[in-house]
Amino acid sequence: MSTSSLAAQMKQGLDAPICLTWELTYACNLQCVHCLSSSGTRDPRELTTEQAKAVLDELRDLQVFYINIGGGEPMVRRDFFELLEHAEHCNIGVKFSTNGAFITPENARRLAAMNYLDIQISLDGANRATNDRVRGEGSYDIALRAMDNLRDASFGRFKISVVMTRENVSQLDEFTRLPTLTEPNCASPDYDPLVAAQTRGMSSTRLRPNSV
Amino acid sequence: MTLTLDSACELHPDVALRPEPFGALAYHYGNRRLIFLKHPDVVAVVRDAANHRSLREVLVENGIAESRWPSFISALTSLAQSEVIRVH
Repeated sequence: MSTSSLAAQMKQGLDAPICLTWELTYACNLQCVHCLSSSGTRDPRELTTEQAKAVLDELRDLQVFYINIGGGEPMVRRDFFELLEHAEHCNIGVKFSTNGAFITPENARRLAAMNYLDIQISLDGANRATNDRVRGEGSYDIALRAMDNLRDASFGRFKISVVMTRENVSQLDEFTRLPTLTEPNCASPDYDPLVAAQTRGMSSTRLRPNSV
Repeated sequence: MTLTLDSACELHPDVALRPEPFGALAYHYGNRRLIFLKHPDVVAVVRDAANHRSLREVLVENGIAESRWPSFISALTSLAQSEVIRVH
């Protein structure tokens, strides 16, 4: 039906991006050893609420379909829900990564009430010891509590995001047996191999071809 | 699901349609699928579908030659299977 192939036309590019990946803040309550963005402290040049909303308005005008929000821990921002609601108002879908520390029962209910929202909770070990060695003491319990809160709020399906390392690659079956992952319409795992992250000195955990 | 010339359709309410040089991109906010609509005539028909009682009427109103109708019905059927459009 078309005179020139789609592949040829694709060389001209799209009129706008399909999605935007946005590190909303570098502030983080955790200090994971493999952190790609070496997050921890807030960047003083971080966008203000009004600036962030203006970006969302621009994405709406470009008809960008969705954004991937990361950080840092994006829920650290006090205006996090305000920005989520603005994105929803602009018909922009949101996917965000979190360590779960701020997914309280009340916040889980707020998240469950929103449209076009995907959540992934980071977990780097199927047990407390393996996870906390990478993500810090207490982070396993934080993530599991967040998962319970999302389940209790009937959020629906969410993902756990696993950075695969030599330490956890043997635990893939154990991840699928975590409490909320065995329930229907609740959680599913999503594995990303740690291939070339800037680490805080954890290169020894990087996967090697013979690790699996 | 197979559409016919008698089917009445509309753009799915969860779908955003964005114009592109080749036609349009459709994003389904429900199932998170991205679909390429690779011809401007198909985009025009999809956008106008809700205004008519049948696809036959949509094709006539948009000046689509009758010889092209079978390929349009097949393209629209595939868009219905992807939930870009739905029967109404």
